[in-house]
Amino acid sequence: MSVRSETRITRDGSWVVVAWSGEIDMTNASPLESDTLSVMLNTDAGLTVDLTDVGYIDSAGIRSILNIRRLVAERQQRLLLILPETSLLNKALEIAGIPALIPIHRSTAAAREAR
Amino acid sequence: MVTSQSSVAEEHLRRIQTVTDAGLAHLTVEALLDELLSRIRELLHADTAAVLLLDENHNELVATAAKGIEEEVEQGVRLPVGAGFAGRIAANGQPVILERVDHGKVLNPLLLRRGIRSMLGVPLTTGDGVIGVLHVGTLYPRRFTEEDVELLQLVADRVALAVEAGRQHEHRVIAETLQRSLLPDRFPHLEGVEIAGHYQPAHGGMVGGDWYDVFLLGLESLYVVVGDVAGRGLPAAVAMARLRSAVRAMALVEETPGGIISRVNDFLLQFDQGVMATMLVGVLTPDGTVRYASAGHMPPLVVDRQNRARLIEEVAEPPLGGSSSGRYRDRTLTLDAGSSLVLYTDGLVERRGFPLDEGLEALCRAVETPWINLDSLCARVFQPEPQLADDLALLTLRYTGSHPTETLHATIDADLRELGPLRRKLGRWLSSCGADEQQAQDVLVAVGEATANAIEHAHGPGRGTVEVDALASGGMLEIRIRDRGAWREARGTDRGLGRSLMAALMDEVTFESREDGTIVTMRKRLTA
Repeated sequence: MSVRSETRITRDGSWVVVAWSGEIDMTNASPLESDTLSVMLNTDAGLTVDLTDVGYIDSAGIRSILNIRRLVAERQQRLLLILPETSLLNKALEIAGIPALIPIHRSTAAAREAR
Repeated sequence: MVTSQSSVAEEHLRRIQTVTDAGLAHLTVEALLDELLSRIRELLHADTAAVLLLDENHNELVATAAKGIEEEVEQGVRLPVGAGFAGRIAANGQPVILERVDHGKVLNPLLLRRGIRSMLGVPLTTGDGVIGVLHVGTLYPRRFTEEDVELLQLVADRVALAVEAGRQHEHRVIAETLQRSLLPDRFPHLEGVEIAGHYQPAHGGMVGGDWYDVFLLGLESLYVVVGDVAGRGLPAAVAMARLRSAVRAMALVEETPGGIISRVNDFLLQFDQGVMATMLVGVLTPDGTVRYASAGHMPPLVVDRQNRARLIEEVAEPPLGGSSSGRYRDRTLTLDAGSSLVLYTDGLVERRGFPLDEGLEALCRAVETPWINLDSLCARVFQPEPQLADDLALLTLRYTGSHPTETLHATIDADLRELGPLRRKLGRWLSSCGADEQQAQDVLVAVGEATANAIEHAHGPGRGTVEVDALASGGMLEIRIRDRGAWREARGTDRGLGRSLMAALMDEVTFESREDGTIVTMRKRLTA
């Protein structure tokens, strides 16, 4: 594959933490989205998507985040994002209006506290 | 009997009206007159009918259309105003009846040779006065009645209107063609200078006498000219064409812009009296120096690297064609790298009901917005009033100085899997051009969106290529993404996000749909 990306999934009780890394664009956004959702159980309380190691995201990736938010909300589950202030992704996510829709935490610890 | 005759006449008149009303838009003046004369001949039971139009420059009547005496037109018969049958009608603006045609009264030999015995002629009159003569003739002696005169005059009034409207249309087409043919369609190349020009006719397509010109003399002297001839329509366009040539000719012999303008003024006063114009001539050299002189023209505008606009106002000197004022003064301004010179005509800043100062201020505000192209500049200045009362010409020169220009070209298959490699190639190039990480990221996302659109929308799977060209110079970045396919509108609504990202991450994005594909051009300033 020409686009390098990786998904690391960890479970902490009833909370799922998915760390994406690499580049997210039209070629891999959909598989990332379904991989992420596939590990969620109906009994889970929520999902954290960690974008710390993502170097690039385009509109397809942002739409996947919005899809995940919709599907998670339908099941009364919560969604948190982890994105450091220094990340280059902040600007694109802000343009897309993500901060107003999904709580963004700057570190793993802050996201854990917010559960 | 009387009733039926007059109803026949009414019917004829109605048919004439039909031609004048419907025909104007489609026929040339000659074709329209040809059609009308046939009907006039029927209406008045005449053997000949002819229209002569006034040539104001020579004060002569020119045979323009004829029925029964077609040779008159073929031979291009010209008759002096004031003498002879038609000449008298034109001079006095009154109908003339000739019951017996003879040499003393008729100058046109064709009419005599044809054996025409009686004639009736009436003037063609518009608001501007007599524009010609309409006459009918018979091969038998006839006594034309008052009713005949009235009827022919009625027809003549319609003909005059038709001629006037047709001429205006023709003049407009000629003037516009002339104007367009004289504006440069490509600009000469001078290292470190980017040039853009824009001309816009007034509302309704009416051209005036505005123009710009750019030419290179020697290797390093870029001449820029912007001018505005008073008046509009064909006369203004023709005067503009002569002025433009005069400037080029004088530039070959004169050393300085002031010298060129002084000589052009002498030229106007000597050969083109009555023409008034404002004009600015400048010479830009690669070190950024602009020597210029102005004959009453709008002040030049300099936009510096930080996008601050400054009007260069000097003591005004008289317009061209006003007086022999002697020498026009040379002035100098210096462009720093990254700054631009904006030259324009008053159509850009003068709007109905607004003082000139407000227009100038609006122009300054418009150019202070980061990196804009000319079309968006015009749109910005004219936002409150898109219908131009006057035509306008606009010329901008961006001086990039001695910055090296970096370019990148990539041709990729129309396949989404090409996006990743393209990003890496572009990313390396951006960082070599001095873009910081966030700027590079912004550009990569915007280019990614545009390229993905090009791949998805313009091509079926597995076909075609997309070309990406990037150019960085003087802190400015320009990227073009071009596909060769028929653009399809985005499917669904979610494409909006991609476009929003492009618009927000770049300073300027334009989409150009062409027959052979789509070009997306994006610009961004890289320096802080």
